[in-house]
This record gives sequence, structure tokens and C-alpha cells, in this order.
Amino acid sequence: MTARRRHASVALTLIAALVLGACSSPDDADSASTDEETSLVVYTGRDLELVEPLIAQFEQESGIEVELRDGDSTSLAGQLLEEGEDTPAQVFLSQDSGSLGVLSDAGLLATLPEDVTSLVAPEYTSADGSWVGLTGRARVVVYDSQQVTAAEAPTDVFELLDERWRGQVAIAPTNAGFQSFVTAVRVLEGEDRARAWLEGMLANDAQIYDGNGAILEAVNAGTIPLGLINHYYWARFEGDPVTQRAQIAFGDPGSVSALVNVTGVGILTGAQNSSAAQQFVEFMVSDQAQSYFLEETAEYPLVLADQTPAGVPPLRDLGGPDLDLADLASLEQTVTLLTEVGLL
Amino acid sequence: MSAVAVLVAVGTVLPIVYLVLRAGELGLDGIEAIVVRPRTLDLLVTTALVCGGVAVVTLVLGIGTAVVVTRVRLPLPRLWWVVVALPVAMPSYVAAFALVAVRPGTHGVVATIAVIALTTYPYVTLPTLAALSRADLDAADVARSLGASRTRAFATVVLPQVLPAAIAGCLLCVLYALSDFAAPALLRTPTLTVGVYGLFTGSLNRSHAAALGLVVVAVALVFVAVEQLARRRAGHRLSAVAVRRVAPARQSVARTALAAAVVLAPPVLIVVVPVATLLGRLLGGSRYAPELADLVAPAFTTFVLGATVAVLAVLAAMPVAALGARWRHGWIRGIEGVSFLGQALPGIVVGLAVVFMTLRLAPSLYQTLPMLLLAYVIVFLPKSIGASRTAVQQVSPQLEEVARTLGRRRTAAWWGVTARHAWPGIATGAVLVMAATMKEVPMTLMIRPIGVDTLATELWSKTSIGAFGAAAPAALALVVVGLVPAWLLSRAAAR
Repeated sequence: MTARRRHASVALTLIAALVLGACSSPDDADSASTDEETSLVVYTGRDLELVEPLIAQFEQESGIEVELRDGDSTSLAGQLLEEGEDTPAQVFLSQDSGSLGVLSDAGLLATLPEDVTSLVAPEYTSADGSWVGLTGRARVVVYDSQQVTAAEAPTDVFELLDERWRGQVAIAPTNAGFQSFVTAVRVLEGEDRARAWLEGMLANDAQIYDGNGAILEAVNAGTIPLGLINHYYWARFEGDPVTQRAQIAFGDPGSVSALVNVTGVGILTGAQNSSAAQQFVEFMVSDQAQSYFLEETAEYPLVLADQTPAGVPPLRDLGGPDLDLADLASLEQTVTLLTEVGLL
Repeated sequence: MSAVAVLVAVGTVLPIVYLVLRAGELGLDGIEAIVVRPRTLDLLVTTALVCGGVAVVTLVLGIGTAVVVTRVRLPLPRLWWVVVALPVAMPSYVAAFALVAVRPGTHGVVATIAVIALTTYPYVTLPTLAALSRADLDAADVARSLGASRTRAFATVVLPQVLPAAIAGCLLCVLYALSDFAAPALLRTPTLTVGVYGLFTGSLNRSHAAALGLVVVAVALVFVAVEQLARRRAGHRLSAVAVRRVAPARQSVARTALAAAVVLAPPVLIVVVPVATLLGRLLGGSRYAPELADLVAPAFTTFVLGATVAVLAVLAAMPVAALGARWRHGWIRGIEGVSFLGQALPGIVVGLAVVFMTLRLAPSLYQTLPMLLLAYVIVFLPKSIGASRTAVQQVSPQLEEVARTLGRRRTAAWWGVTARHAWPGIATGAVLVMAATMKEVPMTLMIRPIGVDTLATELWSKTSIGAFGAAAPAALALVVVGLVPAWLLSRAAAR
């Protein structure tokens, strides 16, 4: 159990005191920074349910108490931007590389030691060492196995422009993973082809959904035959993924359709000298944590690059195009493109 | 009193100040680039349809259920107050998810209106109930004895007495529809707020999101102005000194059954069906199945936070409500209107605004319990103002004047006479604030002290990974905790 649970009783006592009219002390939040060696404040955009057991392992081994604030990655990144130098956070664990890139660009992330960043292949981590990639999530086509056979499921995103799939494909333009994918198309295939693909998808009546989860639900219910998501969402399905209607098809090796999105971790500038923060990041790239991601969340562990989660192709068979998906300038061009074609 | 009212209004306007500051970074040209494009028009049209639909459905459903509960003799009369209040405990995104799960493929404006209207109509029902319980029904009897039909007597004599309360409640429903992100997003209905989220999540460009956020504020201003106009036209106060409680008439069993069905149907649709859907998923097998013991502390926290905020909000709302009910100066309407605008803002904007403001105004309070409470009070205050004001408005000022001629001090007379008579309305406001506090997620995630878990944040952490089955116990607990304020309200109103 992490600090999140343990602190429940503290919180309740505080509330009770408040209700009884006693003064509550505002210094509870400061306790984290007064003694950095024994406690650590982590903002996590990664799903608490899946990351909490791993953090409990870290707490047990390091003796450092982790105080977790959870939220979705973009909201937390927005919050960190607003907090700036005043942030109580020491570490940011992110679901997508874009959020880390924005923080890095704002000068809010400290440079990590090279022995940490060099563990991960350059295409899966930051160019400037401001954050390190932890896991990979493959872009996939999710298909309804009752309407589409495994052989029919498209493995090239440009096939989705075919008349055959008119009105049959779900996309989530506001989702960070989808936007990274559009960035990849822009960089690898050129601006014109990226715009043509987006306009073609719209012309082919692509259906707009809120996010990966909503697309997966819809495909699994048979509402729509195809959707573009990250394989992680399928792998963490509440029931057993293998028995679901929704199944996934990986993109053609080496093509943009086989893009791998990256999750990562960074240290906030205010905590650049914190040994607890360093230990946390080192733990996340350790074999122990990387094996956890491999086995428990079915993600590609970027440090153990030769190991593959059950039921998916090896990382080296996927594209892994050499581009900086966290590059803010490039991200903004993608958003501009999406805005211009009317998807945002 | 006016000073307090001004302070309260200043507090509620802080999120809008933040929005203006952020959007201002773009300059006028930059704002124009975001706002003036075809997409904005699409979003605006969808938003207008959703909000208009929610206004109509909540008014009809809200007044209808309130009339049935007070005017039809039903077994266990108090139970029905609880039944009509229950839907406010259901977060709209849970209802939206359940709708899509039960009827795959459901999407669009009508589905969005249905979900938002059914989870918010108690904002109309409860104040209307409170108003009906204070309404002068003798006049209706007079009208009937003069030959008016039942319907006509209701429409001309009773309805005008409760319309101000109903319209004020309807504004809350509409502003909620304007601010809601998750339900329209799940139902694939791109409203302005969905657009704001979309701009924000891309490159985390807060200024772009804020520029579109200004459009939300502009739309909210229109709604607030329309509401003030409608309420002024609709309402009038009868100079009743004492109100006689009229027992509902006896009627046939069939009529009773029909009435019960009318009142029961919406809560069943919007509370029972979603919870049952989630439970069904849980029974279907979930690898994220929760330990029930983990919900005890969040349930307690949720209740205590909700109750504390409700009491604080009532105290803070009183000055504004009292002024708004008794004086009609332009600046008072201004304060009132402005305090409602915050209700229309997307949760993420409110959360970031609170982060921004606290770090500048009171950095030592950041992410502490007092600050969390203060933020809730500021954000949810208008829910209390609306209900309290219309209740105070219904109480004849002559009563207070009598108390003062008998030697009571001004404040004592106000609390002892006016507040006491307006109590059902004031308590209604408290319950609405409590329900909203208990359901809040985006801001709570950002500023709660680490370790403070509420049922809503537990529910969010399950649903955010798609584990809707595992979310069932938290959703159920939220409804059960929501029963407490509803029950308290039924007692307050029955006094």
C-alpha cells in the first residue's frame, strides 16, 4: 500500500478536526519537501491501479515514502505548467511523451544522468536527456472479430482510405497517441501526405470518438468494425482480452502504421538534487520495474528491449521510426494541421 | 452585508479572470484566429441545441415531478422527496457510459440532452418543491370557486409563485450542460467544452483553450441574462402573512399508481439502470475488482467534505441571496449574474484557475484541506444562491418588518423570520451544493491534499482505465451517500 492509502486516516482526522471547529494545520503538504531522503512527491498520469503495486515495491526497497497525485497526463502537465517553480512535485510519471516534451520545453525538467538515459535506444527517449522513456505502446488497428477476420483487418493506415471502410473506422483526434501518430506521418511521409490522409479519413466518413477506451468499447460492442488505438488499452481490458470480440492487428513492420508511442518519467527542476527522485527514476529503469511493465501491463519494456509481452510481436519487428515525438514545435504543427482540417 | 456579497462575487469571478489572463497572452489577433472559424460555429450550434433541450426537459420534468409529489396523495410522502433528489448523485459520465453499454452506438444531441437533463432535473424539482411548500394555495381555491378550471387555477395562480425557483434551477442545469465534458464526449456530441478540452490536450496550449473558453463565458452570459429576464417576468410575490398547508386530494388507485410511475421513472432510468449495468460488468469478471474496505474511508471523506462545504456555502450565499431577493439595483443583478458564470466553465479550466490563483494569492495553502474547502465553496456557491434567493423572495418583507417593529434587531429579524420561513429553499441549496461537491473530479484531483480520496476520485480512477465493472461499488456508494442529504432535505421541507 502506498502513501495514498495510508494517508486516508490522516485526512479523516484532519476533516474531523475541521468539523469540530478546531484549526487544521496547513503544513501537511510541506512535510514532503522538508525531508527529501524519506519521502517523495510523484505526479502520475499513468493509471494508478496499474502503477500502484510497482510503487509499493519501490517504497519497500528504498524506505522512501511516495506521495502520489494521480490524474490524466495532460491535466497534470497543465497543472505543472501553472505551478512552475512552486510545484510540490519532484517526479512526473507520464502516459505520453508529448506531455513530457511540453514540460521540457518550458524548462521545468532537470537533465537526467547519462547512465539512466543511455539505457534506452535514442528513438524511444528524449533527445536532450530531460526525461527517459520507460515503456512502448504500439499503434494498432482494433477490429470487431465478428465483422472482420484477422486476415481482412488492415495493417496499413492508408488502406483505411479505401471505399470499403467508408464510415467504418473510429479515430480519436484529441488523444495524445493519435496526435503522435499524425506527427509520425508528417515527419516520415511528408506534410502533404499527412494532410491528405486526414482529409481522406474525413471524406471517408471516419467516426470521431473521445479516446482509446471509448473506441475499444464501441468495437467490442460491434458498433463499429475498426478503430485506431494503442495496443495497451486492449491488453489492460477489464476482462480477458483474448476472449473479447475486439481483437488487434499490428501495423506493417517498418511502416508508420507500426509506430510505437512512449511513456516516460522526468524529474522536476526543483528536485534536481533530490536523491529520492534519482532513486525513483533509477528504479523505473531497473530490470525489476521493466519486468513488471512487461508482465503486468503488457507494454514493451524499453530497457529490456529484447523482451516481448505475451501475444504481441517483438519491438524490433515494429517500425520504431527514428523521430522525436516529444518535440514541441512538431507537436504544435500537428495540432495546427488537425485544427485546419477541422478535427480540433 | 453588501461588502460580504461583493467579496463573494469577487471570489466566484476568479476563474474568469484566469481565463482572460491566459487568453490575453494571444492578443486580439490570436484570439480571433481560434474563435473565428467554422469549427467554432459547429460547436456553438451543437452547444445551443444541447443547452436548449436540457432547459426544456428539465423545466417540464422538474415542475411536473414537483407538482405530483406535493399535489397527489402518495403513500410514504417523505420517501418521494428522496426519490426525486436521487438523480443528482449520479455523475453524468457514468450515466452516459451505461447508456452506450445498454444501447451500443447511441450518440448525438438527443442522447446527450437525455443524460444531462436526467442527471440535473432535481436542480429544478427541489427548489420548486420548496417553493410549492411555501406557496399560497388559498388563492388557487379562490380562483377555482370563481369558476376557473383546475389547470387554469394552477397556471395563473400557483405556477407564477414557483416559476422563479424553477427558472433559477433550470439555469443551473443549462450551465452544467455547458460545462460538462465527459458525457457529451462519450456520446460523441462536440460541444464548446469538448472543443476546449481538445485544444488543451493537443499541445497543452492553455491560451488556445482559454480563447475558446471565452466563448463559453459569452454563451453563459446570454443564458444568465435570459434567466434574469425570464425570472423577473414570471415571478410575483403574494403578500400572504401565513401559509396554510393544504393536504393533497384523495384520488383513485390508478391515479396514484400513475403519479408514482411518473415520479419514479426518471430516477430508475438514470440511477438504477446505470448502477445495474456496472454491477453486471462486475459480475462478468473484472481483474480490477475492488476491496470494499477501501471504500469506507473515501465514503466518510466524501460525506464530511460535502456537508462542510454545504454549510459554508449557505453562510456565504446568504448575503447575496438576501440582497438579490429584496433589492433590484442593477449592480446587485450584476453581482448575482457574475457569480453564476463560473458554473459554465469546463472543469479543467476551473481546476487550473484555482491552481493559478492559490499559488499567487495564498501559496502556503496550496493543496491543503482549507484551500480545497474554499475552492469548493467558491465554485458551487451559485447553486446555493439560486435556491436561497428565490426562497427569500417568497417570504413577505412585511413579516420581517413586523418583527423589527416588535423590537428585533435587523440581523435577528432576518434570521429569525425570513431565513426561518425560507428554510426549505435554503436547505435545498445546501443539498445541491453537497451533491455537486461529492461528485466533483477535475479540480479535486489537482488540489486535494495527497491522501484525501473521495468516492468520485475512486470512481474516476477505475473508469479512467475502462474498468467500469470495478467502478460499480464506488458508484453505488456515491448514490447511497447521496441519499443522506436527500433524506435530510425531505425532513427540512416537511417542517
